[in-house]
Amino acid sequence: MKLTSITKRYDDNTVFDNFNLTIQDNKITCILGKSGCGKTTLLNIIAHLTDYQGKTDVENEKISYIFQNQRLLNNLTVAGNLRYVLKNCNFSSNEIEEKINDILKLVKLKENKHMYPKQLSGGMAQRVSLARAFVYPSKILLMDEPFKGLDISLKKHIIKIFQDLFNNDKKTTIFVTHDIEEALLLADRIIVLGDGGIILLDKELESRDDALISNLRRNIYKIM
Amino acid sequence: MKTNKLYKNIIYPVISLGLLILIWFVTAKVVDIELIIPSISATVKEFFALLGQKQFYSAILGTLNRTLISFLLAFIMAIALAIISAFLPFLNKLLSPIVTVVRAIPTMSLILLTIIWLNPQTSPLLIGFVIVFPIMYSSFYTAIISVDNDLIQMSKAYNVSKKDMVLSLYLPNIAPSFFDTVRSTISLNLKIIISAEVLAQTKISMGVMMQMSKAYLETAQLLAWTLVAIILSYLLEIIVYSIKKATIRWEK
Repeated sequence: MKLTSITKRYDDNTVFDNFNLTIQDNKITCILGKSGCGKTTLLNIIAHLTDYQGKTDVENEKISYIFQNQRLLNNLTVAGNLRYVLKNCNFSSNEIEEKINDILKLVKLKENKHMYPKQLSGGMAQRVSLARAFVYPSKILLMDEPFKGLDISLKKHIIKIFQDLFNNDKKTTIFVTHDIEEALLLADRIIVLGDGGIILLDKELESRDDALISNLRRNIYKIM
Repeated sequence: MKTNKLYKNIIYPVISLGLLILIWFVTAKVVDIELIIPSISATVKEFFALLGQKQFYSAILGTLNRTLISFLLAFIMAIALAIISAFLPFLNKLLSPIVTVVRAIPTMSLILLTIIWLNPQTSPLLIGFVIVFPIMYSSFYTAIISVDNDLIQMSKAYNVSKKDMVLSLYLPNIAPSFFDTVRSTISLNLKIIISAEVLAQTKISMGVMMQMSKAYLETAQLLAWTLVAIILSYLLEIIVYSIKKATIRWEK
């Protein structure tokens, strides 16, 4: 995925000025940075949810997006929420139902298929949101702090489910977070963004070697 | 939870109704003039006497007919304009001052003016329309523009079709406030139509029957007609509430 000469302004505030970025396919690229440095704006540019100047080569691509809040439709059941994003994808009804059953099995929500979001716990709702992203036939996955606000044990559980889903369907993933440990755990590449879209650090994680991770952790803490 | 529901749905309404009846009973006893405050028994007797009259049913049908026609006209226009305004903000800017002015017109002066302009049969229709349209328009417009922007963004990110967004996102999100508005305005409309019928002397109407009861000093009969209006209003609200309950299953 390539972003070329991206410029984005909110009134007088320039978030990105002639910003360029290439993202490796089927890998998890983690974007770290302080609040307000443009992490979410970057995702919204890729998802075409905001206007901008410049070019991306994903304009006609299907994109999955996992938000910090689950953004489920309260009037639809768990299955209904998944069906909602699949209806416009040229699948037959049987195919849709099959895909829904398969993904719900993976996120361990098969028994909760007919429940409404208000009847789900926070963790269950986040699993539906993960299921929605992976059932959608996209090559790109955007994640905007999806583990924020979860308690430690629940976060571990959701991250494990995410890893299982990702290993089953390796989408080109951009994962925005402010949590350095989450980034070190999941990322194949870590980018630290500074104000005005300046890249302060760009590091690929070739291995999960302890010394390498600690060194990288130190560097990131210094920069941030 | 069950005890709470029992209190909310049965015990409290029964107590408040009982209190009202007690106040009526005591006042009637103290005043002791049937012409001013008829007794409960006399009113109930009049109520059942009304049930045996052919005129009673035609008056109710006439009033209900006018109520539903003016309500439907206001409803269709309010929902159509609210949808258009949500997509064309200038239309809302144009309509808002008109809606504010219309809402501020005293009901009585509106009734008197329309009686001058129109005939007794049609003036209640216009009055009902003018009173409930602004309430419905404002409420529908607010409901439409209040649809959660996060959900709209999510739908756009997943490339959900416009048709599915309307059917699965917009309509269900505006449905609760839509039904609440319909529920409160339909009974308000009935009251306004009856008031207009009283002043316009509309033929075959509950309003004119009430006016006649008053003219012949049949206070018990007037109260019986009032009871009928309350029951009708309550029934209309129950019908709308039942449709809401059957439609909005996800709120249970």
